[in-house]
Amino acid sequence: MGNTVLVVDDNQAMRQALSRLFKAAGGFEICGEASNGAEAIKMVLQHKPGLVVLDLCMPGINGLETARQLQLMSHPPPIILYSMNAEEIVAKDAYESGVSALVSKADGIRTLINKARGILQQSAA
Amino acid sequence: MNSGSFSNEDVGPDSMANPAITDLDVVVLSPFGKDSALIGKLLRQSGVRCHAMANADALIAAIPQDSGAAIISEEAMWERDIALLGGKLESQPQWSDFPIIVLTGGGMSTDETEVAVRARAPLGNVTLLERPLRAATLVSAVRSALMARRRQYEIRDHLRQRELAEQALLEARDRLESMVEERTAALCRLSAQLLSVQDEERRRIARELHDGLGQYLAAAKITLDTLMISRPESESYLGDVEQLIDHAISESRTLSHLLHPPLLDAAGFASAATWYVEGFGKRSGIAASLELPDKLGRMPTSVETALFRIMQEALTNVHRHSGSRKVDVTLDTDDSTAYLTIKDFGKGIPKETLEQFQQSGTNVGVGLAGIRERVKELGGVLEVQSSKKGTAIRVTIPIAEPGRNVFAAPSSQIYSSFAT
Repeated sequence: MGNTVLVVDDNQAMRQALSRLFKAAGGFEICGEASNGAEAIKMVLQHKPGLVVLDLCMPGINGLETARQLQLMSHPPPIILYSMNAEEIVAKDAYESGVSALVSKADGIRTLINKARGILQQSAA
Repeated sequence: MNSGSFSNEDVGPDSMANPAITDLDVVVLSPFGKDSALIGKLLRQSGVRCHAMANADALIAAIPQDSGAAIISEEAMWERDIALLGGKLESQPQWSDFPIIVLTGGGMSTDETEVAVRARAPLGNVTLLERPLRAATLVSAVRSALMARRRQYEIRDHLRQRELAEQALLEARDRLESMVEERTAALCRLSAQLLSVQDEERRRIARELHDGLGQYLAAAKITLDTLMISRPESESYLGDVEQLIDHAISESRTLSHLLHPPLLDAAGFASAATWYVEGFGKRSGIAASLELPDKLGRMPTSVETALFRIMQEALTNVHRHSGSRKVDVTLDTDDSTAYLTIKDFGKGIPKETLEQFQQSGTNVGVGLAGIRERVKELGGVLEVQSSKKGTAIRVTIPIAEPGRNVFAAPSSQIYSSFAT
């Protein structure tokens, strides 16, 4: 809980980049990295992260479906769903799936970090 | 010599037989007296095979198509026999005119038989020889008859050969036609397959660009951004690198989306077309407008993909060839049909090119040919109108309910017109 972040992305380079970013930005702790939806669910149960940063396009269970399944938990974690391009996400679908924020990879890191901070502050309050 | 049928001086060996006619048989009906034996001897001496018949029925039955001629003593034929023989001769095939030599005036003949034979004579190839007759006269008459008959057989053989040749020709034509049909069907299947392979390939490459290249570029950018946070002093260099990565991201993204817009699958034709037409206008500098129905629902994937690809091909043509500064894209739909029009105001398609496309579907670039194939695949209609004031491509595509093939019946058609 607290300021812990779980990074979920099927691309290893992307997972590494995101983990480094959160560490460098300060105020976050990376509690784990998952490479697919099933792994993500397992790690959420295990680490109970304060935030899940979830990639939309993944083989098998995609980000949207993973978010829906996480919502079924008794204390679902807040989720940032991010994708390569904002237009890939149908916002209505995403919010209905329990996603707290949508970020496109093109938005830049500041948007991602700011939204992550905002969400963590909100849950701490 | 019997009954004075042959004059005395003629009973002797005859001249050489003509080899060309020796394979034809002569049937002889002369049952009374010794005529039959004498005729047989005389003809055999001349190298002609002959067979004596016992009565008229036997003679009539023995006139098959391969005999050469018949010699008949008139007294051997009764009224009934003459009628039967007449019937047989009338039923000959067209090439056949069977020669008959009738010996008249013999001792056994009666006025009635002679009158009857003479009455029938004009109907067939009948030569009347008055007895008593000279052996040479008979032999020469038989020779002439056999030679005429030989000619008839030659004509028959010729006709048969021609018939066989015609038959062979017909069969060859049928074979060729069915081969052409098979090949055409195979080509149609192939072009449909090619289109679907092309769509699939574009989808795959788009995905690879998105999931592979795009992800790595995005990861590089994030890492760079992270560096900039930790080491603000190197920001100017890192900023340059970041700009390069931004360009690379944007290029790979555009390429991926042009190959296969994710919006087409996710949100349908309307969203994908809006995005594409807007981007087309920016990239080409051509003022591009898009008009869509107010409430456009989803159509079957095959229809949405075809409409999008057709629009894409047509706009590419406008950009490459028309010289137009403006293009209007319009989609109309009713319950069963989608109507897509792409209208430019450029220089038009050359008249000869359009006419050739109209007639044979050739002599145009892959763009128009691809549009035609996609339309054909879905049982739609493609109309191309062109003049020096511009070109309009109008496509009518049935929107078949998934699983209901109600629009399969109409075959694809192409209408083209050229107005000067």
